[in-house]
Amino acid sequence: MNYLKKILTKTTAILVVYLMLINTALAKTSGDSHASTPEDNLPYLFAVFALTWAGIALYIYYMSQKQREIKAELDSLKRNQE
Amino acid sequence: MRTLLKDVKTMVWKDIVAEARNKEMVTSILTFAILILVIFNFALRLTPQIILELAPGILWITFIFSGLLGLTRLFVVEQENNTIHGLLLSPVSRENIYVSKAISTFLFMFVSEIIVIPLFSILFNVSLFNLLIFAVIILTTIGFASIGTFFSAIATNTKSREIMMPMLFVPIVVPIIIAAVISTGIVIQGGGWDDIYKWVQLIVVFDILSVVFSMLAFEQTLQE
Amino acid sequence: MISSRINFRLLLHLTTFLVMLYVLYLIFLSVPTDKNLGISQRIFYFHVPLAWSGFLCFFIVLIGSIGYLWKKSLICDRLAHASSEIGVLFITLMLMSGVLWAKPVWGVWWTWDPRLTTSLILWLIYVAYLMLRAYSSNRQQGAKYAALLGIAGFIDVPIVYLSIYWWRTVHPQPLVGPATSGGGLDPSMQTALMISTLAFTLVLISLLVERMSLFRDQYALETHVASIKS
Repeated sequence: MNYLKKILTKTTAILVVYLMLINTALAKTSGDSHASTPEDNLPYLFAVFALTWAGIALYIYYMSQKQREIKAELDSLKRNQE
Repeated sequence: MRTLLKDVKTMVWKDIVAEARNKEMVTSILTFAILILVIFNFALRLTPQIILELAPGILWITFIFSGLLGLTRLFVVEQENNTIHGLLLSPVSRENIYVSKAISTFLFMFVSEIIVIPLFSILFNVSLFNLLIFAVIILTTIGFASIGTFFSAIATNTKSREIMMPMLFVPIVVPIIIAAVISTGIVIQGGGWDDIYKWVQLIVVFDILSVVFSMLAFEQTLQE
Repeated sequence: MISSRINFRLLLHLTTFLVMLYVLYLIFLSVPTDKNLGISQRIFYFHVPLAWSGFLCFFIVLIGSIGYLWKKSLICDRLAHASSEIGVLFITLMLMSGVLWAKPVWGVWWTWDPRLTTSLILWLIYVAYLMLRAYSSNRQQGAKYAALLGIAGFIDVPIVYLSIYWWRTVHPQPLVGPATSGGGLDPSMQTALMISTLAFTLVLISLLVERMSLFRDQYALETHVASIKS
C-alpha cells in the first residue's frame, strides 16, 4: 500500500512537469513568430515560474521523505529497546 | 629524485612486461577503435568532400572511447590478480605509483593510437602523417592518461565503475577534447604552427594542472 | 538550545518567504515591460539569480571539500554534500529557464553559447559528484572521492569556459547570442534583479540549513545503529 502511494506521487509529479513542458511547446506552435504583442510570450513566463517552484517543491518533498525514513528507523529502534 | 626515477623505471618496466605477455590493454583499445571506425563508415555517408570536415571528430571520438575502455580496466587487472596489495605494500611512495601507472597508461594508449592512425588514413583517405598532428596527439594523450589514471583509481573502488569512469572522465577533459579536435582540423585543412599555437598552449596547461593535481591527490584514492 | 535553533530557522525561512514575496510583486506588478524583448524578459529575474546561486553552491562545495580533506571535519563534508545537491537543483532549473527563454527571444531552444555550454558541463560534473557519493562502498570513501572531484571540477570550469569561448570564435554560428544589454537596464530593473538575487541566495541558505541538519541526524542515527550492532 505504502509502495503504491510512493509510485503514485512520483508519477503525478513527473506528469505535472511533463504537461507543463508540453503546454509550452503547444503554446509555441499556436502563437508563432516573434512577439507581435507582448502577451504572446506569457506561456513561457508561466512555465519558468511554475518549473522553478515545482523544482524547489520537489526537493523539499524529497527532504521530507528522507526525514520520514529517519523517523521510521528511530521508531523501530525505540520499539526494539522496550 | 634518484629513487623516484629508479622506482618509476622498475614499475613501468613491470607493466610493460605484463602487457607484453597478455597484451590485454593494447588489444582491447585497438579492437574497439577499429569497431568504432567501421561504425562511423556506415553511420555517416563519407564523401571526399566532407571527409576533411569530419575526420578530426571521428579520430578523436575513436581515441576517447577506446581509451576510456582501457582506462576503466587499469586497476581492475591489478585487483583481479591481487597484485594491488603487493604494489601498495612495496616501499614505494604513492606519488611514484601514480607516476609509473600514468606513464605506462600513456605508453599503451599511444601505441594503440600509433596503430590506428595509418588504418584511419587508409580507410578514410585522409593523410594524418604530420608532425603537428603527432604533437597534438602526444600532448592530449598525456592529458588523458594523467587525469584518467587518477579517475580510474577512484572508479575502480566504486560499485559500478563502467558508468562512473565515463561520468568522471568526459566532462573534465572537455577542454582538451575541444582543443585537440580543432587543432587537428586546422592542420588537416593546411594550417601551421601559428594557427594551432593557442590550442596547444591550452592542452599543455591542462596537462600540467592534471599531473600536479593527480600527484597531490592520488594518495587519497587508494584504499589502505 | 534546541528552541533557539528552531527559532533561528523559522526566522530565516520567514525572511526568505517575505523577500521572495516582495520579489514576485516587483517582477509582476512593479517593473516595466522591456520594449524589445516583451514580457518574456521577466524570466530574466529568475534565470540570472538561479545561475548566481547555482554557482555559489559549487563554490561552497569547493570550500567544504577543502575543509574536509584538510581538517577531516564532518561539518564540511555535510556542507559540501548538501550544497552539491542544491547546486544541481538550481543549475537544472537555470538550464530549463534558459531553454524556455531562448525560444521566444532567439527563436531556438538551445544555442551552444559559452555560458550555456559551460553550465551544462558544470551540471554534468556535479551530477557525477552525486553519483560518486551514491555508488561508493562506504560513507568515508564517498566523502573523500567526492571532495577530490569537487576540487578538480572547480579548477576545471574556467578552462572549460575558455576552451568553449575560443571554440565559438573558430565556428562562428548565426548570431543569436544574448544581446549586449548590460548597460541598458532600467534602474528599477536593476533593483529588482538585485533583490531577486538576494531572495534566491536566501532560498539557498534555507535549503542548505535544512539539508545539513537532515544529514546530521541521518549520520548520527547510522553511527548509533552501527554501535548497537557491534
